[in-house]
Amino acid sequence: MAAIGESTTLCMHVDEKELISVTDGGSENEIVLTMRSTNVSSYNVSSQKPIKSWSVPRMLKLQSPTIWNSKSDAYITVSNQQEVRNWSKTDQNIEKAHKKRFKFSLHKVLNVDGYEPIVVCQNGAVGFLSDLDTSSPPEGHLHGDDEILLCEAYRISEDICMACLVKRKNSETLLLLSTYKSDQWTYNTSRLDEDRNGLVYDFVCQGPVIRTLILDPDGRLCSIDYDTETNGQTYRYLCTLPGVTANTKMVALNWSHIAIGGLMKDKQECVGIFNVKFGTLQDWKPLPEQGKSGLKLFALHKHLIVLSGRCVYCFSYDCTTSSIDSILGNLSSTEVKTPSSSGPVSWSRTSSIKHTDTDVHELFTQLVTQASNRKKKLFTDLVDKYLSFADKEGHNTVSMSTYTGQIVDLCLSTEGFWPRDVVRNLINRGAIPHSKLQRLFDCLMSHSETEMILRTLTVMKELPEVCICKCLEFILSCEDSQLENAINSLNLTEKTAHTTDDCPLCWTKTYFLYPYLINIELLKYLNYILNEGKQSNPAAATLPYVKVVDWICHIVDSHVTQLIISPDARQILLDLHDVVQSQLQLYEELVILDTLLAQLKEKSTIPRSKKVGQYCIEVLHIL
Amino acid sequence: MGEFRVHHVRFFNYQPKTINCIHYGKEANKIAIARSDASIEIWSVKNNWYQESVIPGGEERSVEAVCWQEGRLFSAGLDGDVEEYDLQKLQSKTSASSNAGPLWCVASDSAGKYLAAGAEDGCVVLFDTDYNSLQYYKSFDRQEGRILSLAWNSTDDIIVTGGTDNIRLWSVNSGHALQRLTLGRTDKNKETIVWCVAFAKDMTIVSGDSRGKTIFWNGRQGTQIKSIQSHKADVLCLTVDETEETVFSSGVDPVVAQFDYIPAHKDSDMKIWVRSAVKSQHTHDVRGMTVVNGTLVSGGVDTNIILNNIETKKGARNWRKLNSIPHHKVVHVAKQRKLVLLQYSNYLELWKLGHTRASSDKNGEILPLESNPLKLLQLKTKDDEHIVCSGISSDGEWLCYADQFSLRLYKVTLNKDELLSDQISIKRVPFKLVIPPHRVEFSPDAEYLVSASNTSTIQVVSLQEDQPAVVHSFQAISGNPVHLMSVSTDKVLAVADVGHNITLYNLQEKKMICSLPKYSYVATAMIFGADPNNLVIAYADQKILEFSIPDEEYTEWCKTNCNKFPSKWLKRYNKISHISMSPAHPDKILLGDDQTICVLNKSEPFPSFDADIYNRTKWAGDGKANQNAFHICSKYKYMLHMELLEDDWLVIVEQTPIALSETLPMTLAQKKFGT
Repeated sequence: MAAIGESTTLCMHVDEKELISVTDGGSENEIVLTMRSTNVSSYNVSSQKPIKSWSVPRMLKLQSPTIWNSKSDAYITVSNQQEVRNWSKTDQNIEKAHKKRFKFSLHKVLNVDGYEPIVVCQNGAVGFLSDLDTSSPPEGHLHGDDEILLCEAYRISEDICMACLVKRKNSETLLLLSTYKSDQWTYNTSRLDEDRNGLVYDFVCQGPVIRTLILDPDGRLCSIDYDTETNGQTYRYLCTLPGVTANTKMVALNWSHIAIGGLMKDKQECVGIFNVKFGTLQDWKPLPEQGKSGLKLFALHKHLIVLSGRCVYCFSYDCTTSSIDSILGNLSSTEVKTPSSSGPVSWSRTSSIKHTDTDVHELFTQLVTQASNRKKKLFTDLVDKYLSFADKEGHNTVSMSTYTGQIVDLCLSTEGFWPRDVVRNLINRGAIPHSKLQRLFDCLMSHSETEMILRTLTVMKELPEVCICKCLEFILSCEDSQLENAINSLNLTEKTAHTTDDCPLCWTKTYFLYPYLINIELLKYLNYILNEGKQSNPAAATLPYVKVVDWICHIVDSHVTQLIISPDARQILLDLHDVVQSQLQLYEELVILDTLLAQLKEKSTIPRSKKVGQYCIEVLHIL
Repeated sequence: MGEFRVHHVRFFNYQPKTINCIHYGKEANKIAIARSDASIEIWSVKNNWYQESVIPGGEERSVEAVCWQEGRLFSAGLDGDVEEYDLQKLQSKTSASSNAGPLWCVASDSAGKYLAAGAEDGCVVLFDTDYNSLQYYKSFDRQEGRILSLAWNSTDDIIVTGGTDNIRLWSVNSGHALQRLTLGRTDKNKETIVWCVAFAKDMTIVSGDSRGKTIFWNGRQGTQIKSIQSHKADVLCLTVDETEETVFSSGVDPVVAQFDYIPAHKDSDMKIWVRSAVKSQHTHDVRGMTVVNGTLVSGGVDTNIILNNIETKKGARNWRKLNSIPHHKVVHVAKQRKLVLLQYSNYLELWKLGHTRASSDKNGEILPLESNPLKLLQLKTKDDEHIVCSGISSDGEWLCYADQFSLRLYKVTLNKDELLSDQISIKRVPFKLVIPPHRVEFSPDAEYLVSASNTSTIQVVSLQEDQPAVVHSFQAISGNPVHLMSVSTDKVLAVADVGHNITLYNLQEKKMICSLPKYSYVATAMIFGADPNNLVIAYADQKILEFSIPDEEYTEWCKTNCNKFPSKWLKRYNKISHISMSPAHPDKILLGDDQTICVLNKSEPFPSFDADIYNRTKWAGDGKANQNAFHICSKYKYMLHMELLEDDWLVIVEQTPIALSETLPMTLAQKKFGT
């Protein structure tokens, strides 16, 4: 899923014609804005603070985005078409920057981590900055009237690949690929199969494939995948985006997501993130300034940077790889991988449903019969047989999971006997569908299966909040001895799950727990943990300390009236206050210590200027 | 390349003096710069602005104006005399009194027969300089108030003078005033002083005054053409270029204003004076300016000389600074005893360097000192005479200095138990040289003291006997002052003079060995190498040559590489003033100018002609340093001395720009943006 944060203003009074590009500034959250003839400025995109600015001298016109090259520790750009200038972070102005002057026209400088800056000449030739001869350009593959639409460099395994999208005068579109392999550049020009007048283009690279995304003025989004290993092209229509205007801009965020700026949505211009795999607009935010032409869009450091009107805005975004589960919204997070099982798995759009094997169908019919006959032994054997079928390949996962769900239903609803081993087996295999979880817990609680409840909490991930709260209530109501026995019967590795963030309570959103948090026992328990944490190492506590405090805050905040009224809660609140006060004292001391340590660190880390004074003996190395 | 432990000395408080005036001698192709201590420096334009020689000044003297005439150098000062200088002996040759009180200005006519000087009494005094003479000729009519500036017109029949509240034109033939041009006042009670006057094209008179105005006058009619408020304070100096169509002015407000004589309109015959450019390179008052072959030379209280190329196209860097670090040696090192002799204008200081046994691999690390440097001695000259040269023997036992009139030799005894207390005793040795020296040099074993006298004869003094005595004199090769000397461990003496001659003598056999081929530039530093048979010489064109004494020809290395110096090396402005070599590293030549140390490794190849020798890694591509013979360090500014001691020890005496600027007086308060 993707999410876009609120907009913040990065800088103002930016002319659309002046802004060449926004690039990575080399350090964390640093971006560099390159203006054609006014300045080059670097900003911290998360705090929107300007870091440094270099003004461009009057006689100079920058032409290429300023890149940061970590190998040479310098900012590099192309000026006046024939100069490459580089300057360091400490340099005061560009005028005195190091120059390398060429006698031919340059197009752009590109950066690939770990390599020297790459210079792209106007004739399509490519070379490393230090290798290029200043007097004559390497042989290129472009003509004078070719228009370079897009030009990017990627690192593909150990090679460098520079992709360049070129529009010929006869409206033919070419993809020029320059590959640096075995210390030499090889060129490969291929005409794109689909000639079209795209509105916006962008590249995205995954593995050996370079994808050219083309957005047409009518909203059709197509991709042409070029495999650098096989030199094969695959044209694909991805989706049609609604609300595309002439002002729309696009930038690829990853293989499956693109950011679109200037999109019309609910009669207002917005910036949004599209999932091209499923063709869905995942999130969007209206632009602060409406109806402004000359929009520009860039994506860097998890931020979308948008030039709208004369202001540059930035929107933070979060974009994780989508799966159908997360799109359907059943799970709170897609970060935690579901354990592999023969149970419900992610569905594929493309796979078609086949007829179920007749064996499985017959087996299932027998199972239903045995359950109704209340024959536990036979039922258990048949379920084992079914599961061994399910393990084999070749069975359709969808139909199998349907049967599994029905078997779980059978187990839980069978009145004659309690198929404990079958349920345990299904839990261990993680074969319980999420839709049946609530029923499973009800059933386990009715049978007082503490060990199985704990086991389910450990094995199954992404449990519904309702289930978690029910479990919590149940566990809190249990006797200590009962819990101890249950924990002992779990093996050691399972126990450790409770001491980490994998604890099912931890990844539950607190607000889902609101209806259930008015349990006085829970408050008592949290108070106990807080008190324990005071005495022992908070890091080694059973629950993360911050989470405990967070919960207490939420409980006290949301149920303040009930807590005041309830006479049982009074003593707990008083105890809690004592604990918090003593903790506060500790933290105040810690804050003082932190300040002192920070001061010491600052003093010890800043290199002091050496004082030579009137005389000294010093070491001199002349390189 | 080179790893050294450096005695980084900053306790030498060398203070250059304010420049009072500058004058260019076309025949000699040299400029003379007079400073506030009455010393006059002679800079060779031909040798890329090399400070050839210095005529010492004195505490009681003053030089207000200098003037070249047909290769002769004259000065005028507040003692009321015009003096002519002997450019070989570097001292006053003759003088003539003005009989009119202190002199403020002096100028020569274009024919080179007369000098005119402006006097305190208000009269212009003419001196006859024809036939190599200098004598009082006549005085013009006396005016009220002193004459502070004067200039001859191109036909030598009119002199213009500037004084208080007025400018006068005088007839040279009659000595009477022809015209009086009056200036206004900004304040009723404040006189307007005309600090400088000059003649420009079409009989235009240019004046600069205490109101900060540069005024152009019609010299024929005595009317004001144009008055420009060019400066915020007094205009102290003016100069006119060869075409007489460009005028520069500057003063207490240290910007240099340029005025051009240009047509009023396109295709118009009428020309007007306009202010065209302003240069702000000086930090303090500008006192003297002159134009030399398209280059404006200016100097003043900030002691630096600024060269502005007035013919350079717009946009290119067209100026550079010559700092006031002397080109001759003012620091001497007694290598064996680790003593440093510092030569101030009228006293010497002898310091013992600090000591440490620590070492480190980290560049720039300051090592802990076991003993601090110690001032052993301060030796003042007799009657505050200015020191011409000084020297100390390698073992620190002999010390000498010379003023304009005599050489003084001292025997120094250092307490051997120096770790506990450094006791020094110094005793003057009764010894007199008939001719005072310009340069002195001890042989490495302190057996001889060699003196290059002001008549350019070389006198060899033996120090072995009970009483030092001149054992031999070598006659002068030319009439030029000797400016460099070096003695090898084999007792071979090399002598270089400003006439580009370098001669080798054998001190033991008391005979001349040979003369080196005469090079087109003057030598700026020379030393016998790690192999005493080789002499390494640095020239003003930045070439480094090595001469083999037994073969009497340049060495193979020199022949191979002398034409391979990279362009960036040859384009350097600063002259090599120190060369040092160590027997431990015979292949390495340490070269030093006032801002750079270069290790020239003879065993490495020379880089290509267009190589960037200053940035070894830049554009190298593969990240490896370029392997070439030049290894440059620009850590020190300004270096007064650099010399290798034994092992990896190096002495560097530095005077930082901040230390130099700290002693300068307050500058004109200027409103700056943001203050």
